[in-house]
Amino acid sequence: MLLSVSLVVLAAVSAACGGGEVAEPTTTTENPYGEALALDPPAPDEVILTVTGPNGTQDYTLGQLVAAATTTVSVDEPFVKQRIEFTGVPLADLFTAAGITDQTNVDTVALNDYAYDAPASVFSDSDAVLAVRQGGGDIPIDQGGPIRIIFPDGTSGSSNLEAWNWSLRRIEAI
Amino acid sequence: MTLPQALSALVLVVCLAGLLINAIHSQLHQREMIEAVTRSDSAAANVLFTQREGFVLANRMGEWLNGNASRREIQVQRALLERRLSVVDPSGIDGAQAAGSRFTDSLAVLDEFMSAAPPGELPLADRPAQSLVVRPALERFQEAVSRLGGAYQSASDDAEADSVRSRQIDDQRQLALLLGTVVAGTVLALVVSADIRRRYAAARQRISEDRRALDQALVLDRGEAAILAGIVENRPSEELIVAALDMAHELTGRCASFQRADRRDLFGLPAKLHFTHGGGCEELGASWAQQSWTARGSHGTTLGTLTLCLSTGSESEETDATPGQSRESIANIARRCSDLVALVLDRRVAEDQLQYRASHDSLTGMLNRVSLLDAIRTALVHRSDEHDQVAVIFCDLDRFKLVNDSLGHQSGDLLLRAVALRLNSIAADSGVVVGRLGGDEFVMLCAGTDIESRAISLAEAVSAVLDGPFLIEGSEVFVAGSIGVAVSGPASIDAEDLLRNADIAMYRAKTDPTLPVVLYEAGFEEESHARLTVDRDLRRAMTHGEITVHLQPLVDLTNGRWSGFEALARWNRAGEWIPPATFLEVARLNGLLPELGRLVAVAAFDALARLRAEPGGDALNMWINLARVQLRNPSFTPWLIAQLHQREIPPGSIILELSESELLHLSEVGPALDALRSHGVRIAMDDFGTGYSSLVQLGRLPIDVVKLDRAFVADLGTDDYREFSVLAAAVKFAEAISLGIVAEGIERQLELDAVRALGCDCAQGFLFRRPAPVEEIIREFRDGLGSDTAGLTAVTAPVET
Repeated sequence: MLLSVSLVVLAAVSAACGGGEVAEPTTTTENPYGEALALDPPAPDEVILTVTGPNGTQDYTLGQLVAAATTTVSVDEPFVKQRIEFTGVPLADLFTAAGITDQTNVDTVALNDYAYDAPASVFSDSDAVLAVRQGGGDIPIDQGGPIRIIFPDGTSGSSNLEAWNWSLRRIEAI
Repeated sequence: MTLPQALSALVLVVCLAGLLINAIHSQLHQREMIEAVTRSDSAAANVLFTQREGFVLANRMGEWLNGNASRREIQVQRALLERRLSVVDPSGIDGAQAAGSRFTDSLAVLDEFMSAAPPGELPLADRPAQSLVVRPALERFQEAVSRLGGAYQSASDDAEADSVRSRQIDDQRQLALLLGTVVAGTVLALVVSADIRRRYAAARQRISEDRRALDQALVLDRGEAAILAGIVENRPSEELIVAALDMAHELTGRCASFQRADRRDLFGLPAKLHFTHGGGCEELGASWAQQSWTARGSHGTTLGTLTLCLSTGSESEETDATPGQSRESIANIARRCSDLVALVLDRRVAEDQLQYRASHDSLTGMLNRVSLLDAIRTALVHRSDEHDQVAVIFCDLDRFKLVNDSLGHQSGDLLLRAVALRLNSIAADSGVVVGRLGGDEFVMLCAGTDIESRAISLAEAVSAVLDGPFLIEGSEVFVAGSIGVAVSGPASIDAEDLLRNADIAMYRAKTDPTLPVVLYEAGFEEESHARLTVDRDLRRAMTHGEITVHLQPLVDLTNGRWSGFEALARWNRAGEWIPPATFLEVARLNGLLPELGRLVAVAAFDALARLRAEPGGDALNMWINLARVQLRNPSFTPWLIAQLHQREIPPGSIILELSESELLHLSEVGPALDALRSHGVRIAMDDFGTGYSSLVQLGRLPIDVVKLDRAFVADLGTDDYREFSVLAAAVKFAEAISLGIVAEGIERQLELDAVRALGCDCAQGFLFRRPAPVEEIIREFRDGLGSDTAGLTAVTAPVET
């Protein structure tokens, strides 16, 4: 009797403790994006993204990507803890163009060779966007530009920080 | 809940609460740790990435100084590093802060160089100069980059150590609490299980006690049923009492004994009765049940006490209950067993009483007919030789019927009891058996040698005690006994015959008042037989005209003429005159009186009618004897009046005679007498002076005439005036209440003189004329014999009063 009462109490208390997740506070600044470092201009029509899939290899210039950027989404940027409005191309579109299906493992590789690989569905299911514009302008490299993978708020990819590959250079089906 | 239980439960609760708190604390700590580790991992990752980007930047700068990289490539790498420095880790510190001022400062020096550098690759000419200026700054930067990992590592180790220490303390506390919980739980479990075991044992014991009680009850019930069945089956009392004790012994495991202490011996069981069962212990044990008992039907008298004792055989335990058997249960068994014994004895007493009632007369408590015959039979069987004989004394009261009729049945019963008392006293003195056959018949029985003379002297003693007056409800009553004695002879005889012989002898005594005691002789039997045949013959005689009427004249003493006649029934059986007393008694006993009475009345009316036809005969009266039983018939009076009317006889010339005792049943005969008198018929009281009626009663009777009994005149002598005075008083009394007087049974001149002197105007008797057949009387009347009676001519002067 005593034991069972104790156990019930124990279970109730532990449930209360386990259930109470504390939300992280988000901080915002007035000047959301800051000043970009000076950077020499790139070569004209420089390829900034190469997608390799079953349909072959496709190079993209920034202009091509900007032209295709139709999706605008405002998200909590988890690294600098700011609210940022991005415009870009749904990764799913790029996958489709490359012939990459949901089951295909894809490797994403950044300018500094940071790499993250996962099944294509990890990105497409969370409506991942290849952002090419930020607040109406280019994305500086020192703010993750010129192109980066972002996830809309509330998706499973949103909390998977490793998947937020910035300064992206290549997408390869593996 | 016991104290140990409460204490151990308290300790257990405290330990559990401790465990709970510790677990919560531990979990919270764990969470902090995880957060800290996550934070530090994230921060560490940030630092590592910063270090990497730093190394790459330093390499690029080296390549640029060698002319192998463009300024843009440096700028891109610098932007990537800047990106890293702007990343904020979970603790809110960005990459630049985490890297420290040494790092940022050396980076700022490099930035300054690069801002001044020409675009594109470094021209060959500028390389030495630039190397000189930039390389020292680059080396400082490389050193700062190298140090980033170490600084982070030591801080991380400190935090790790703190957390391990804290976890160890938590673990130790938890272990202690767990141990406490286990110990307290074990103690509690032990205490509770001990409690449960104790309760279980108690419950088991209760159940086994209940079962034993149930078994006992079953044995008790069966035993009771068996003994009750035994009572119903009339098994011997001793056997049933022993069975009850057996049961007490079986149920209690003790020797059971039973003592009865009664006021008197009953049914052959001695007053002190002692049954023991169980053997081995002869001593009486403790008394477990004692009760007084009463037999049913004995007016609730306590007959005695029963004591049921149970003994264990050892003194110390006498009053204590056996282990496992409560004192109450033993007492209950003892009580029920003693109840059974009481029931057995009750039954025995009841049987005894029943037997007593069957063999004894309820009125007098004497032996009854059945047991008397048994006693005679037994005595006859036990005769040893021809000198050892049995005598039966048969006694019948002479005037019992008169007492019964005049004083009532209650007085009759009292008289019988008084007689029984006197006979018992004689019987007790002489050691003989005495009993009552029924009615007023008593029988005595004695046996031995020379029994005849003994029986006769006994019979004479009986006669003597019966001669004395009995005081019944204030009145002196005289009864005499007629006694017959019969003695068994050498010839074999059965009890019924011996009793009948005594009866026959008694009858002889009754018919002869001079012999109060008659010894049976062989010839008596025939006489008795003759008497028994009278009944049959009488019935025949009445239908064959053997019964005739004789008339005895009544003389008017004033003129000596016949004034009337009394009609008397006479029976001539084949030339032999049967005494009227004999056949009238038989007729009375056999219910023939009404028929006989009617026969006589009709003959008398016929005679009167013929006499009235003679000259001077119309003044004659006819006196007819009547029995009470005739008056009971409501058609008697109309019948009589019709008969008179038919013969043209005036009712006034008819006088009906009833005896004094019959007239005393006034409620019965009164209405009929009143009816007769209303027609003019007169009523006479016969045998006046022999009954017990009081003067007051006499005055109220619906009668017209009294007939003085012969007893008044029979004792008249010349020298004794007392009888004469009695007679005179009777006559005066009759005159006083305006009744006519007839003197009956006048046989001597002396008597006639006396009644005449007293003014009696009518007389009847042998002195004048014996009763004679009707023809003879009519002839005599016609011849004028009745006109002047011979007796009167000789009348002399009466004795002067």
